[in-house]
Amino acid sequence: MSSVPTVLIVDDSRLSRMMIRAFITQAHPDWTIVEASNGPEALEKAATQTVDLMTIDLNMPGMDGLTLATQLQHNHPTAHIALVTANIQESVRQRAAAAGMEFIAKPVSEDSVLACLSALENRRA
Amino acid sequence: MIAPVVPHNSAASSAPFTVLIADDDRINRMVLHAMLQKDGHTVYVAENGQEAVTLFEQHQPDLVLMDVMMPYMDGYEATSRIKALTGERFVPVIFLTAMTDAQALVHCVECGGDDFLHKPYKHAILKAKIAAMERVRQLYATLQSQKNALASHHRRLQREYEVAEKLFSTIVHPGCLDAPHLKYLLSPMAIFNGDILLAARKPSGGLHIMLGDFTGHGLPAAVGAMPVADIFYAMTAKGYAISDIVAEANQKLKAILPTGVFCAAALLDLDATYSQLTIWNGGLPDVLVRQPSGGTLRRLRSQHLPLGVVDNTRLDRSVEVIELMPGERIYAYTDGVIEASAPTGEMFSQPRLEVYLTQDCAPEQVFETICDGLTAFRAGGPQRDDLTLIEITCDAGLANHPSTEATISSVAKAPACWHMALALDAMTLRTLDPLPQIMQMLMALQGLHAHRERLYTILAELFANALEHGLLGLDSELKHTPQGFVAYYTAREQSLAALEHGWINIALTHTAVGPAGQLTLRIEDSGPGFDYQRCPRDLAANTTHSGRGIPLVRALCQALTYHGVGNCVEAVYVWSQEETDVSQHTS
Repeated sequence: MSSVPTVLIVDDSRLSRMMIRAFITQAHPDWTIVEASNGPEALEKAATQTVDLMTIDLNMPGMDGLTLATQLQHNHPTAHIALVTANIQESVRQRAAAAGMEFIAKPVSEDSVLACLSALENRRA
Repeated sequence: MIAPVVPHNSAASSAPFTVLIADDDRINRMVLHAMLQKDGHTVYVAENGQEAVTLFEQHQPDLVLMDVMMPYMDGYEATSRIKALTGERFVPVIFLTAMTDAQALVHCVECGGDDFLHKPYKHAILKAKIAAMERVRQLYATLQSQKNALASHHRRLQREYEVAEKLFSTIVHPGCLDAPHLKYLLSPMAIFNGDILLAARKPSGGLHIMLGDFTGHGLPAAVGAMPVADIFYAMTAKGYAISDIVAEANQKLKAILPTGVFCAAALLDLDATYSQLTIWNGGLPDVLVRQPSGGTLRRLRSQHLPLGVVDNTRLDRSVEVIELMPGERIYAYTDGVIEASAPTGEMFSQPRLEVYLTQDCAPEQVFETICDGLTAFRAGGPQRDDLTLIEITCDAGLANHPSTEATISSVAKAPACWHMALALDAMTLRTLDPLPQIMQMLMALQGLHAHRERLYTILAELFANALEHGLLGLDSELKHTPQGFVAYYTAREQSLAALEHGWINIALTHTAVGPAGQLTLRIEDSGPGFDYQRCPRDLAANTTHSGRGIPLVRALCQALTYHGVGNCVEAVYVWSQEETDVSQHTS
C-alpha cells in the first residue's frame, strides 16, 4: 500500500462528488482523489491504479452501488469501502456489514465523511 | 363523524334502526313489522313501490325491505329510485322474495339490491341479515369519513400551497430577468423550485445575477431560497459587492439549513459597459464564456464550497475577474442540465453541453439549440432534478435598454440642511466598503431614491479615484490593455491588503436652495495628488474599474472641482422635487 492514500469517489451526482472531495481535501490535502460518475467508469479507473478507499453511492442508474462495491471488493481486497446512502434496507445493511463495508449517511456531511476517514486510518495504523 | 358502536360478532343484537318495509301483502307486512318492532327498530310501511319512495324521502330510513312484485311501481324501479336518493349514505336494500330464478335475482342486484330475504321469513335470519348490513354500513361510514377527512385535508393543503407559492414568488421574484440580453430556461420538478435564478440592476449600472441550486428539490429545497433572494435584492440595491452578498447569504444559510442541505451557487457581477465579469462560483458546474465565433470556451470553475456548508470564518469570499469582449455570451447552469437523463439512463453530461457551445452555430441561436437538444435528449423521460440555464449576452447596447422593473416609489423629503463627515483610516479602508452605508444614510436623510443611481456613480467614481490612485498609487494606464485589467485588479487587491498608512475623508453637505436641494460631496485623500490643471486629458481618459470614469461624473454634476495639490475633489449635485417626480415616472 502506498504511503499517500488514493480515494475513489463514485456518485452520479457531480455535487455529491464535489462535496466528498472537498471534505477529504480539507482534512488531507495530499491525498489522491479519483472520481467516477457510474459503475463501469469506476471499474475502469480502479483497474489501472491502487485504490485505498472508495465511497460508493448506493442508488445509481445502471449498475447499482452494492453490485459495484462487491465487484470492486473482489478486485481490491485491501480497499476500504464506504456506501453512501439516504435510506437503507436492513437486509442491505446486514450484507454490507458482513462484507466489512462502512456507511456514510446522505446528505453527506463533513462529520460523516471524516468519521469514515478515521476508520480507514485506524485500519492502516 | 362518529359511527355508532355495534358488536361485530353478534348476529343476535344490533342497534335500533329505522326500517322501511315495502310489500303489497298485508300479512307479510304484519309479520315483518312484528319481528322488527320486537327488536326495538322503528318501522314504516309502504303498500307499493311509489309509496316506498315517498316514505323514504320523508323519513330517511337506515334499511329497506323491498318486495319485488307490487302495483303502481315494482321493487326494481323503487330500489333504483331510492338508491339514487341516498347520496353518499349507504342504505342497504334487502329484497323480499320467494323467487329462485337466477335471472330475476341478478336483476335485483343490478337495480341496487344488497341482499335477499327468502319467504317464509325466519326471525333469526332477519336479525342476522340486519346485523350484517350494519357491519357493512359502518365500514362504509368509516370509509366515507376518512374520504371526507382526506378531501378536506387535501383542500387545506392546496390552499396553503397556493398561499405559500404566492409568498414564495413574491420574495423569490425574477427581478430584471426579462432584460433583452438575458435568456433563461427554468424547469422545476415541482411547484416549488429548488433552483433560484435572480437578477438585479446595480445602483451604479450593470447587473448582479445569482444562480443557485439547493440540495434536493421541492418545498424543503425552496425554503432557503426566500432569505437568499431577500439578501440578494436588498444588498444589490444598496450597492454591496457580490463578495459581501456571498458572506451574508452563507451566514444566513449556515444558520438556518439543516446539516447536509446547502446551496451550490454562482454570483455574477457585470459592470455597466459589459466589459468585465466578476464571479464567485461555489459548487455550480463550470460557468462558460463563448466567443461570438464559437471555438474554445473560457471556463470559470467552482473555486469554493457551496453556500451554507462552512461558517463565515472558513468561507473564502474571493472572486475571479475576467475581461469580456463585445458579443461574448456567458452560460451558467445547474446540475439538472448536465445530469438530465435520457430514457436509457444516460446523462446529458458536460461534454455534450460543450459540443452545443463549440459547434458552428449563429450566436443568437445557441441558447435555443441547447434547449431543443435537451428536450430531444430527455425524450419525455422523467425529470430527476430542477433544471436551470441562463445565457447572458455581453452587449452594452442591449444592457442600457430601459428597465421594466418598477421603480421604488418613494418621495424625496423637502430639502434640509445637514452635514455628514466620515474619516476613514487605513485599517478601515482595508476592511470596509463605506459606500453602501453612505448611500443608506443619504436615502434616510433626504429620500433621493430617484437620484440613487447617479449619486452612487458620483460617489463610487470619486472614492475609487481617491483610493486607487491617491492612496494605492495604481497606474490607470495598466487598464487599457486586455491583460492589463486583470493585472490592475490583482495589484489593487494586493496593495489594499497591504495598506498601512493613509486616510480618506468624505464629507457630504446638503443645503436648501429655494425649493431645490444642493448636495456637495467632498472627498480628500492623504495621497500626493496630481497636477489637475496641467493634465486635463489624463483626467478625461481616466476610467476606474467600474468602467465609467470622471467624464461621466462631470456630466452628472453641476460642478466638479479639484483643490489643493489635486488630492481633494468636490462635486456639487442639485436636485428639485419636480425633477424627482418626473424621473420617477420615466425611469
